[in-house]
Amino acid sequence: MIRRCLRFIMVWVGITLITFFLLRLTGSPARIVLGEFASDAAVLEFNQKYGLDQPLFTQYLSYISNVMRGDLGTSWRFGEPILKIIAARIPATLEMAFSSLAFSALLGIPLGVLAALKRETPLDYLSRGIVLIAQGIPNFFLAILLILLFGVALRWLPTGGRGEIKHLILPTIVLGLYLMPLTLRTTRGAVLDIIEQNYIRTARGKGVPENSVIWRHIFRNAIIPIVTILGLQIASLFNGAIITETIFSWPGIGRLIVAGVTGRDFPVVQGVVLILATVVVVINLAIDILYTVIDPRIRLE
Amino acid sequence: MKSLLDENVRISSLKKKMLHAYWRNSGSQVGSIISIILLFLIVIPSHWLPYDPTIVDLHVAKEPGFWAGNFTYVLGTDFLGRDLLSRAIFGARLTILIGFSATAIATILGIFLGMLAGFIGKWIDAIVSWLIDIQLSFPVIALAIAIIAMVGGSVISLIFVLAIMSWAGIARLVRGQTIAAKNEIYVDAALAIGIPRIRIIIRHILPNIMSPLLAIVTYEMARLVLAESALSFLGLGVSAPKVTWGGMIGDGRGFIYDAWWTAVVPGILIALLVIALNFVGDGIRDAIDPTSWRVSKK
Repeated sequence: MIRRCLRFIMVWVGITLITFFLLRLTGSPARIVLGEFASDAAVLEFNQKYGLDQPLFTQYLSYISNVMRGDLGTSWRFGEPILKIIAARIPATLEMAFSSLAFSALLGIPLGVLAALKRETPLDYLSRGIVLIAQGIPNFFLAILLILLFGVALRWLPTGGRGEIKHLILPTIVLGLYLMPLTLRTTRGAVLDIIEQNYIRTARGKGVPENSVIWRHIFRNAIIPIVTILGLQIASLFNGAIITETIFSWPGIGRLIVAGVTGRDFPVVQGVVLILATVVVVINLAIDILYTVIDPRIRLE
Repeated sequence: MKSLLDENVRISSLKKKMLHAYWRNSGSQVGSIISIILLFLIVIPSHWLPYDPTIVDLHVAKEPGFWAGNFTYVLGTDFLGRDLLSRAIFGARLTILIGFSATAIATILGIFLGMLAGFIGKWIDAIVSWLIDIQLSFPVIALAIAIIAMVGGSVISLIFVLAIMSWAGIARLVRGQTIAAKNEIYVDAALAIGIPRIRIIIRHILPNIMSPLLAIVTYEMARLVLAESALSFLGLGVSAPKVTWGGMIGDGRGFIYDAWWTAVVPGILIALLVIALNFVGDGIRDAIDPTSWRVSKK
């Protein structure tokens, strides 16, 4: 457990190192904020004000100590604290994240169980086909097709924005289908692994009804890897959310980072990347710990 | 001596078996053929294209294609009157070049670091594993967007960013496989008779991890083609007159109401390429391990 936490801290420090250097990749932040033709004196003053004239290591230390205190810097564009800007957009992203995760699980888990139980039947091949197609179509392209069909041709659903439930439908389908292949594959794999175990044969042998074998013996044991994968999907979820939010004008964190790029508001970009990566490692750590609690068979070392 | 010979025969027939299993699979046949056709688009010389893919002619803007009986512009034209068929073939070059180069760099980096970590272990392993953990914690699209925003979009920066997105997964696989292969008796034997480590790695370990590596590399290329198209769609790709399929979708996005084909044509091409590559990867995976289809990170 201590090793895990140590590893977590090491990885997080690495993440901050990378996000710290991200902003330095631009060359001179002062030139971006003040413009190409700013006087050298103004650049010097800017650098002094933001500590950019200090040695890199000192700058990093002050960056990380600010981050620890929840200070991610100030937006160049809005002049507001970045944490505040991000916090305001979290509910929208969470809303879409939960509904798509639910969509992906409701579609992927039953199909995955069925595909494994009816292995090598048309049903198995069908779910394999669905996976390949869902995986192959770029999610922004799928979004365009759905907007075209349901938004433009049929006029059933809004093509963007947030508000009522109907605004949530298309983004959920797009992001949910982006996540579904992994859920389905994992479920199928997990169930297949368990079907071959001796205790399943024993259960069948002693006459446990098939339904009970499937739900009490197979599914309950398969649920651990499935839940883990659902948790590990968090990084993919963010990747998909960035695209989906941008297309559907969804006011979440994903769209914030794209807006930060187009507005050349780099501290916001840096802040969002840091927050997203931090969420990913925290969730992974939580799953790791939860894992050992739920299933004592899995304890590292 | 005789048993060694038997071993060689067994291995070569195993390889043949795998190749055979790959070709017997109709999925991998279709996947291979479509991939090869699409990959061949890049060698079509510019003067074979029906029209100049960059020439603007607003008189013929947004013309529909063969579905509306138009055989002058078979796939229609975009909002600037550029022929979509020519642009699709022209765009294939950079789409595939970027995807392929990024995958190649990521693979070389992944093999190098993964083997170093797996074979030597100790502090090198600790550092490489640390780097892998860090890399895998970033939502890659977010990181890629950030890096490109800071350094600017160009062919080189796209290849670089995409390679960063993908090396860690490959390194993790190679590291694990190397550790497993290292514990085989034949490696001990080779070490014992004084064969240099570098030779052991190249002659004994690399061939053993080749098949799973080939599968993951195919998947990675599919993933990077998707990622590149997403970045280009967001306007972070190569700039005009260069174009990739993702960029073409981005161009067409504003006109889906009156010229849907400008986005649909490149979209179908990307989907075809990605699905075909996944079929190839699945075929390799199935040939190695027939019991499971793939479980991998998206």
